[in-house]
Amino acid sequence: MSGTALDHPLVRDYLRELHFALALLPAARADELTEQITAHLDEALTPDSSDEEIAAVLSRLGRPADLAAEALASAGTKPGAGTKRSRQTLRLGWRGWTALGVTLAVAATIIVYVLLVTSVAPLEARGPSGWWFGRDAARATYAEADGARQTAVPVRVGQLQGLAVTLYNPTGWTQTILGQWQGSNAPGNAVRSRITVATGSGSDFRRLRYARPASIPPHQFRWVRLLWVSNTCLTKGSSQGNDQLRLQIRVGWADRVEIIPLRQGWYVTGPSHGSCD
Amino acid sequence: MPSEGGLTELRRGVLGPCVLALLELRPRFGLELVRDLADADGLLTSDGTVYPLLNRLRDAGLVTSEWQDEEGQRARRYYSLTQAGQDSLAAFRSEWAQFSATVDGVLNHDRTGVTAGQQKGRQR
Repeated sequence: MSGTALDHPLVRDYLRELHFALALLPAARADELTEQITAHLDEALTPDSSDEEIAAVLSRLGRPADLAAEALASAGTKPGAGTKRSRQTLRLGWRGWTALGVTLAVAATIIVYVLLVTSVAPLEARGPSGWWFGRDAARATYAEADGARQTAVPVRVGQLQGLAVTLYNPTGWTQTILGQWQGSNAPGNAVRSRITVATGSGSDFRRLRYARPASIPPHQFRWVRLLWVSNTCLTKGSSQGNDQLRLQIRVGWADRVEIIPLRQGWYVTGPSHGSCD
Repeated sequence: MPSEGGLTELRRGVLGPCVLALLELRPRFGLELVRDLADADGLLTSDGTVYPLLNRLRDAGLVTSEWQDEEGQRARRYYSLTQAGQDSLAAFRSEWAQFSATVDGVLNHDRTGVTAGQQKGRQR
């Protein structure tokens, strides 16, 4: 016979049976006892041991189940505490399992939450709108071509211009406007621009208070004001405009970008005056 | 006549001190201990029970174990007695002497119907 006595089928079967019999022991104790029994067999047997000799040694060792019972009694471990197969994971203990469960629950909640939030519909441009300053409103022109509407006012370089639109929140989530995304939403170039949201509802948008960040509650309208100082240099007959708002929005705890198509294009037209003269 | 279960419990109770007594002489490895104990007829019900016992004694601080890997020999885990083990063994020896004498006395007088309590009373 080559190898060691541990390779003998009788020994292998015994150790396998022992392995399962020790399932109720703590892992470290089971491993230690297995090592002791293995060393015992390795020492007591030789590669040339006969089947009878091996059987006798195994018989004197005692049945694995009895050995396990003895070990359980010595270790003070109560049966039913777990199985060997699950012991690797049961090592966590109840605190570990609790922590793991809480972690998984939190992670699952976050994932579901983010999925919900990201699937929430964006704000919509609905209802009335207008140029913010009466001076622009008085000079505004309106046109419609190919189903697209647009309004235009003369550009006033270096001066404050603005518009106001009504945004509707069609969702059940409060959506908070944090600011503009990727620079200005102003028609044409602007040296600075600022977007704010009416803190309340009302039809006369110029009399409302505006702030940012500000929220649009579920299924409600709010005026949104965009003010800017233009530095657009336009020649006579040329124009620049914008027909969408790119906003940073917070829904719940998640921030995202919403690109909101406007109901009409907002344009400033040349010629530019002031610093462009 | 005591049942087999009763003897097993008796063996279980005295096996620990016997192991301590063997280790008192010198450190021994597992199979060596088993063979020495097996030489004492009737002490071991099965060889395997020695190992859980050794682990329990070690947990109790009565024995220690360490691997020795000497050249030319296989690595073996040797068990040796600690000071606490020596103290425990000494205490057991003292108690056992008294206990076994008491049991012997009871057993011997049991044949004549005299109990240990009656015997003590007479001595007083």
